[in-house]
Amino acid sequence: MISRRAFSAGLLACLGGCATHHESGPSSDLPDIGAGYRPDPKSDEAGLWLKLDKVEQNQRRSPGRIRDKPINDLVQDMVCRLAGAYCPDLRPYVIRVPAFNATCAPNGMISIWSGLLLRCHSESQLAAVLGHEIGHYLKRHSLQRLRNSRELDDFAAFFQFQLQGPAAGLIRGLSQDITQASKSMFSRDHEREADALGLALMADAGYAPAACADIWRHIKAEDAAGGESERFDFFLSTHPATTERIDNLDELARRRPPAARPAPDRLNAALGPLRRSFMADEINQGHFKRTDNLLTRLIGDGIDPGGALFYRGELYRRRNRDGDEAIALGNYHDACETADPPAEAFRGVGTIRWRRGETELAREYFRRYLRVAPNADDGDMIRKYLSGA
Amino acid sequence: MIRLVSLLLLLLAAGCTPYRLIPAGKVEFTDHGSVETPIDWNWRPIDTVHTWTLDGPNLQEMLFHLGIEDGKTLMNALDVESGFNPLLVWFGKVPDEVSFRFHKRMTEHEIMDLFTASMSKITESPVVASGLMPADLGGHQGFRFDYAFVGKDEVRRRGFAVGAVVKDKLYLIHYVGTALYHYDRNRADAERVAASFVFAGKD
Amino acid sequence: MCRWCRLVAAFLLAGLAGCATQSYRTIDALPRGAAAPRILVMPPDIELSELTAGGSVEMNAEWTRAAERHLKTAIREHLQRIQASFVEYRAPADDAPEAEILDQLQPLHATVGQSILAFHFEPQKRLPSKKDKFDWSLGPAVTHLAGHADADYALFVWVRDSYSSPARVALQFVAAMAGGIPVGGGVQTGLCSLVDLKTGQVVWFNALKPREEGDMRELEATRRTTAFLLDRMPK
Repeated sequence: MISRRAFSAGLLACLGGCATHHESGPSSDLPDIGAGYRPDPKSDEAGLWLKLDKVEQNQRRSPGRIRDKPINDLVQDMVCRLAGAYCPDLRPYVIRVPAFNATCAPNGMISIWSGLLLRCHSESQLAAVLGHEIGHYLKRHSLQRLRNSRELDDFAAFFQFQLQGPAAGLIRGLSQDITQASKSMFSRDHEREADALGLALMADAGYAPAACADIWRHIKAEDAAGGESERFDFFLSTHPATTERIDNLDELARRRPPAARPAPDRLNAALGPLRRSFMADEINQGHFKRTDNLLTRLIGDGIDPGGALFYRGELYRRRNRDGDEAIALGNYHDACETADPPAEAFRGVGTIRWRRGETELAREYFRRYLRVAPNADDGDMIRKYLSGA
Repeated sequence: MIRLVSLLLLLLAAGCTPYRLIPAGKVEFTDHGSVETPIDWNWRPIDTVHTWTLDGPNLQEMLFHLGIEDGKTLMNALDVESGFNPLLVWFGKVPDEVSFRFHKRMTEHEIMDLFTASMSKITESPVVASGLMPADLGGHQGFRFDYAFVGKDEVRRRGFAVGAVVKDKLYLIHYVGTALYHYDRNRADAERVAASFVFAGKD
Repeated sequence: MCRWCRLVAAFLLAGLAGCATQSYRTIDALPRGAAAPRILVMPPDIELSELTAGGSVEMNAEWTRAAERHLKTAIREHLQRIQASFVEYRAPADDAPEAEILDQLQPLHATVGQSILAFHFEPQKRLPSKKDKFDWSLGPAVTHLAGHADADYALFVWVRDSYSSPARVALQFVAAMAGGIPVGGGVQTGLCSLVDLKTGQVVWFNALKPREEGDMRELEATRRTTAFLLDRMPK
């Protein structure tokens, strides 16, 4: 799992952890997985696989799965470039969830969340994430994590039950922290191992290894913008871990010679209009500063600037504090001037002008909206604005 | 996360309140208006919203958001800022969360956008709206649109909404049901209820 | 281990245990024309899990696979015994045109079933507009099932069962000694419906009340659970 922050308290696993400064070494006491591996049907691993096969069956036919051919073809091709002989054992799925996460299950199911694709600027950055996940798979990390967390859960329940009285709540919280900290320690070793292996895989495939640290720099910047780094949390402060991770990845990338045959960058072509729908999901999250940081970065790096400017306008228009309306209008205008403006940017200008009472200016932009999107399904509404009613 | 949990708790708590019968005929909403329904419904208030159903809220539901004032959210439970710790606010350390609020100057597109963003929060699934067009609510110029989403139970759902802004307040009525069956079954009934809305204080 | 676990659990929570099903129907017998009505048996939706002391639920593959096999066998035996004509469902190919509708019917049934549990089983929670009538439907989309399998009725079965791990049984024991913080044991819940494939109407519905017995890892116990579930199914 690559997620850098918890989506539920129990999942706070990946990067957090109290100070574990011991050098990363192979943390795995299991043999690496072989190509075409299947678990012994009597083992607990077989139970896990069956459960995951059910999850996968649901995921394959889930309405939340993104089925667009170009992006699915691309991730499948990338998995094969990265995993070589293991390619037939790995099955990537693109899932519509607006959060930065990817997972690789022990049965070979890889889930790539749309919020992660939105944050990848290049194919190399996506390769960094996929390489990392394939690293977890090869080292069989999630099986170990599952076994370990089960023991920890059992421990925590006893711990909590025996405590009664006024201090119980406090101590119960502490016992949860201890459980989580141990899980975090455990998984930080895994993350380090998967980082190193993932970087090797992607660089071997011709991708730019500097991309591995870049993606974490993006996340660190978003965390900082969202105020995450200001939170004091002894066990789970994610910030130093991200910094350390970036340093490690930078160092590993420096040691790689330049690729003999650089890999192509097909991400933006494969995502196409999907990226805008991911932006729409992103602004629905209701995070202002974090999303503003993300969209501003996309605009700066020229990643679909038309879409990013429009959605940045939407973000400010929705917040509606003093001055936000002007910023929204500016972003819509800028979006209209890009090479590939979303039709909605013209409507956005019209909307703001209309509510300001600048009727004629508004109508000009509503007309431009209809010229760009003559079959828009809100055409009747727009024509009502134009008709002078 | 905590806000989301409290929203869920609220909806769960509402789950314990039994439904009461709304017989066919005229139904008054105190201070806001009235409708005529051709069939019996079951009524249960949640938060600031009146909800009606025939087979249970997960199969089909009609919701009335009536008289939402400038600066308010569609439901009180969606107001994340009201749950911020006042001490943290005092020290300027507020979480990076913003509520989606109604503003009296909003255009129709903005209200549809407010609706989909709010519903996406409630359903925890992307809600998509389409087909915005002018419509009439209780004799006032307003708008209507359709919407769709897939619930956490993997069941596809469809809905329509009709609304208007009157005296700076938002009135929004919508109906949603399973795409395979329940939406279509009582859609015509729901349309008649929405079309019959009369604002309070009118003859 | 778990026969012992369940014994302890049953002992501790004897008040809650007890076989209990509750069923509702709109017809007493399947109407018979020249040919016997054909029942399409949907794949039973079943999961057996282990409850760890920490309260997390993990599906157990061996148990689930065994229970799935046992349940299919038990349903088949039951339908043979009542001399019903039946056929088992075969999933369409992923790209078949009706695949999406057929895929939606299983989750729709689960949602309708949960609504029946929530709004019909306890009289004080009933929806008053239904006037105590048992009136629930999956709608006309089920005709796709009729066409897919050439059947008159579909039988949907949904079961969730969990079993305590030894650590959790010990925890239940300690909790009981210390004055009764309720720590739930493994619980079996299930529901099944017979759906008229011409109209989508649920003509018969049965639910197991949550109970702490009935080990579906064994064929004999699965037969008993199946008997509870299907016993009063109209013939």
